[in-house]
Amino acid sequence: MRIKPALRIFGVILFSQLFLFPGLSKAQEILVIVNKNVTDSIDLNKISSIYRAEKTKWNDGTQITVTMLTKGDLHEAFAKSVVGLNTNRWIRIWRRIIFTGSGLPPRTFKTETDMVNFIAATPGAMGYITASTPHENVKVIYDNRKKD
Amino acid sequence: MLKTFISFVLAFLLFGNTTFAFEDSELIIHGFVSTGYMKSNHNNFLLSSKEGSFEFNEFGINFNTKVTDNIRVGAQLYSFDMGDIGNNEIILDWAFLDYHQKEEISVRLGKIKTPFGLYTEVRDYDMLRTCILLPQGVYNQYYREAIVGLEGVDLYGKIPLGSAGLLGYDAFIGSMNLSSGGGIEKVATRFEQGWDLLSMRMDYSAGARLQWYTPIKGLKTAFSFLTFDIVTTHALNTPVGTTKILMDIPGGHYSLSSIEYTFKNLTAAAEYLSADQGATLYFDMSELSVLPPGQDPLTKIKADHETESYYAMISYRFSKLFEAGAYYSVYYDNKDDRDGDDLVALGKNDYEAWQKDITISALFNINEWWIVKLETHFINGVASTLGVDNPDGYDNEDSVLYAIKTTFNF
Repeated sequence: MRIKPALRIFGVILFSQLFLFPGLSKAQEILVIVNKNVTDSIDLNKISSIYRAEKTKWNDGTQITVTMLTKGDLHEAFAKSVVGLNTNRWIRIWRRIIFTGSGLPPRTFKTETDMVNFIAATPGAMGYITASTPHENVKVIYDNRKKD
Repeated sequence: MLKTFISFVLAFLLFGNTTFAFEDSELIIHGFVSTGYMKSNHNNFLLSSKEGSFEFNEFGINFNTKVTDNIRVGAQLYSFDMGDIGNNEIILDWAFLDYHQKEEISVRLGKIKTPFGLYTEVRDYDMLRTCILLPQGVYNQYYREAIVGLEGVDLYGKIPLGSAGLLGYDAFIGSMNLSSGGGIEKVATRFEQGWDLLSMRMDYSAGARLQWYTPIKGLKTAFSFLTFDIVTTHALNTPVGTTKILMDIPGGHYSLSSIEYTFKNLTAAAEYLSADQGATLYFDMSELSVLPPGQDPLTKIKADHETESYYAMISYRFSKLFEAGAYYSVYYDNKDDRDGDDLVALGKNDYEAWQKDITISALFNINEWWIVKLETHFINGVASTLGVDNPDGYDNEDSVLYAIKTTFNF
């Protein structure tokens, strides 16, 4: 049957992509930041959970305002290494939220500086930057340079 | 109601936040438009596919705002066309107030999307999946309006389970207006030739869904249950008079088991649906001028009807530009007659008892707001097709359906 060869080829490509050619991108430094009023203790799993829209409130009931960059190497690296998804799949999670009305979409920013300024001014807000971006007015809760 | 709603929205857009005073008010607007084409080599499926048809599109626009930290309101207008159904009538897709104070318990009131399985809430939004058509055995387009949403209330929440992951739940109850020109009307008129549909209503719809976000990152399972009551009335006109028929599907229920796994660029999903749509038919033949001797003019017949369907689906993102997917889907119109022997005894084709579908999809991300999809379905059987779409009968057990679709979203 015609379909079997196509499925075989699909399977070989899938296997090679998953197991033979791991990502070769250079390690990207990532700092996860929050507004200074956030007091929750947060680990990588919780950060991922927040960015997958599974957790929406801090322990004190404050709404978590999620922020994202619109694109770039940091954005891609954050999706892959922190959220654990490719950007397409990640964006689909938020589009699902938007088009079913089941939450508010993340605030998006073109620059890390704009993101930092927003997070500093917004209780409960959260985002991600590189270490070189000035961030004295926010709290760093995760730094991938310090991971075990 | 729709005109009032549109006037409300236009007024808000034109006059901004001078009209209303919301804490931290910001109106967020998003939308999408999709259009596509389908063509099959045999058997019309969903639309006039044998000729090929562009009657295949969707449009949606939504508005959301935060009233307080715990209260949101929003609404989405939607229109679609799929052959004879939808016909681009603009409907209120959802509109509700969401009170979300705690992660563990929140409530939505208004017109809501039904939380059922993995994809019911998002079945209308082409940009949220790799394939064009969801497996029709589980996500039948004709039954869409009875399942996709309801006017009522949804109690929902997520409960942390510590090292066991997270448990999400929904419990909902409400009802739905079944529209003329929709899929339910089309299905209701297919039962027998000559049955005129006089009215239809859904008395209630209720159900629940449990989702377990397991400790294995990316692995989620769910179980959903839906029960409803649909009543349709028909008239069967004959030379000796009219027989009125009331068909009641009381306590029809669907149960759906789901599993989904995402790992890097891979997404895999599978679902199993069992649907009990047993109906009681009440016949009123009191207006007939001739009745068989001894025949009671008022009779009722109980007709059991359990369907079964399942699928397994996989998709993979090969690059920023390209994703591919495939699924195998099976639908049996009667769980007790999977091989079609009962249909053959009635003079029908055995392949009307099942529909099996192997689908291969390709998705191209042209940019962050524009996608194009290509899809091919290799179909065996016709159980998901309708006789009204194939009045001359089915011309082949096997058919191939091609589809192409493009979607813009903002």
